[in-house]
Amino acid sequence: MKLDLSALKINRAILHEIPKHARAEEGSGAVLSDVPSALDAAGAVFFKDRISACLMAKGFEIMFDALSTSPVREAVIAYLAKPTEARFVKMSQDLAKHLYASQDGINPAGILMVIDCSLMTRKVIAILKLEQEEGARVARKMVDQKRSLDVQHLQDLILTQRTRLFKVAAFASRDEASETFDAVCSDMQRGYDERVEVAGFFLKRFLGCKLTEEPEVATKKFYEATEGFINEEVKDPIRRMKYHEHLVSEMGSNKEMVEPVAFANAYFVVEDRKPFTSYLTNRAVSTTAFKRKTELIDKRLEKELFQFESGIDVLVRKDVPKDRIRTEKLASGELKLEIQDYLKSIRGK
Amino acid sequence: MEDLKAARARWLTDRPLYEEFVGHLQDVIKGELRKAGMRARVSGRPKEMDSLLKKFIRKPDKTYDTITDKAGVRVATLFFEEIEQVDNIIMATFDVVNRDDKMHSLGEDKVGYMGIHYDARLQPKEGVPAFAGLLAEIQLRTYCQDLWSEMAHELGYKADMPIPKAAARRLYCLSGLLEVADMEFSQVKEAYNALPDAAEYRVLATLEKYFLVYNPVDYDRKLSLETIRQLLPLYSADDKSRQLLIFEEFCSRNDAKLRLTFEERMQVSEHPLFLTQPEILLIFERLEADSFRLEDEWKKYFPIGDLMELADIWGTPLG
Repeated sequence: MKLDLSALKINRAILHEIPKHARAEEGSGAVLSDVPSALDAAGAVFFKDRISACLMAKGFEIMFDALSTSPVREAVIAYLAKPTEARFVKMSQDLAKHLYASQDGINPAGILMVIDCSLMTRKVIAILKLEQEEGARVARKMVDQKRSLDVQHLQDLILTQRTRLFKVAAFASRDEASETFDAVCSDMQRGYDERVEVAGFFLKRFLGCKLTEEPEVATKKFYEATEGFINEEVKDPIRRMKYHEHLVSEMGSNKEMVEPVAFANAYFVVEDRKPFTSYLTNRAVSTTAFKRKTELIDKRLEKELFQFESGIDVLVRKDVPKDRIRTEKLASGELKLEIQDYLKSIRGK
Repeated sequence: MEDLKAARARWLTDRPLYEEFVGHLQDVIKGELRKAGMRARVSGRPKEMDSLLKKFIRKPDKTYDTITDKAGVRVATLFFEEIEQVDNIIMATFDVVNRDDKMHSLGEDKVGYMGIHYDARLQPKEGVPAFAGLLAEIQLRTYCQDLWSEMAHELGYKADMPIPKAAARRLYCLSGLLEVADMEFSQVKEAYNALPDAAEYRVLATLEKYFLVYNPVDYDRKLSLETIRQLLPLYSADDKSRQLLIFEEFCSRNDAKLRLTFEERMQVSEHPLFLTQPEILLIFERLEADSFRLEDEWKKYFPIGDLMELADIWGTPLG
């Protein structure tokens, strides 16, 4: 289920620095803070807006992978069972050490921000990795002789684009015990493919998660649901054909990601857009972006089957030149399909 | 007659507490008005020392303990028909020991001051211990009645000589005139709302009722009407006939989210301007119902960036 993070409320946040280091060398380790960073009302809204906008527009639903050795799940569960400030600091430090250990020479330096939030009655932990440009540093400061990082300075860095909110995940507890979660993750840098190690390090190695739905399955579900919508909800035959053409074209395009809302915006008339996204939602098909993987529907993309009320079926291969088939909507509402070609054969079926 | 020296000493000691009491009463009344989605002017004061002492001279039967208006709060409504609703709120909120409806005591054949005065205490269940037993006088009237009352007070009480009969009659005629003004303002409002092409006025009246619950601020009415006028085509004829229900259901379903949204955003100085406009509820409602059509309509009249920001806040990012 898509998480509505607009009612997210930030309770406390802490920042740790993760220096760049080669995997082989041990390095000096994460530079840890000992106390949460002070966050005023404007700062809380600032980070909440960026987290929710990022996750709600481009978030992928994820789940903890039972086979993973990442300590993130256990750390989050242990903290949520007794959410004191001291335990929050300890949990975030453990996550920072683990992130440091998960990174290698190709990962840039960054800041790990761990945030304790609530979503109405639900407990939420948000984990952000902000990657820094060379030379961009976050100001350190001492609070009661304990180390901390200045959030205001971080806001300024984000606003000036020297640090960007690249990787974000949020885990919202499903139950009182806070042991199962609805989780969502986003990478503003690139989409997720578990088989690509660079993008997968945050999701897989660090968080110990996997996508709730494989891209092939998400692609197939979207394709089938969209076809269902076109055939069940769109009455105009020409519009149906155009929509189907766009669907096939979208599936066969070289775009890495499919964004259902953007697809509707680009190809459907305005009055069909909301019914379309509602149709997807009602059939448990996500309206958030997913990676396009057409292996499971490739065969179906090669041909188009026109089925008529009277029992006539016309099967058209996608590589047939457009001028061989002409369509026209008649005043009666019927579709006139005109084929002009040399007859090759007729078979009984 | 009350010992003025003793009264002075007691009031010097008690006045700071009454000052806090008046502030608390105003907060309670404003809170109740906000819950009801009503706008009214609420003001108050603890009695000035000289005014208190002079009252003992004018009314020798009054004592320090029996005088009921040491704390005074005034509530003024825009329209006469709102008086009944605020009256109900005051009666339900406070422990009213005396209610004096001046209109009732005037009778139908006389004109003059028509406010309602209450001698009231905080109800024990909600009272602050320090204010237990303290009495206040609450006055309820319309803006027009308030205007007349203030002017009459200024002219009648501060004149150095008794007001001549002819002048007094003119003053009371003005009271009648302002009573007619009250009626006319209500009629004009009703006429506005009844106009077939004034749907935006009706929608704004409905939205304002809910909006004030979440964000009791002054807003730009002209901008509201303009925005509503442009966005009304997004509702079907069927929706338009049950618009009140649509907003009621929307606000009820999203009450906690709306409270949080306004509470946290209004603390930030750079908040979206539409958050201070009642039509924000219509915008949020349409974002939820059909953000595509809203976006399509919005960009014909307003900068799309404003809607994108609101869509992100409401958790319905535009594609």
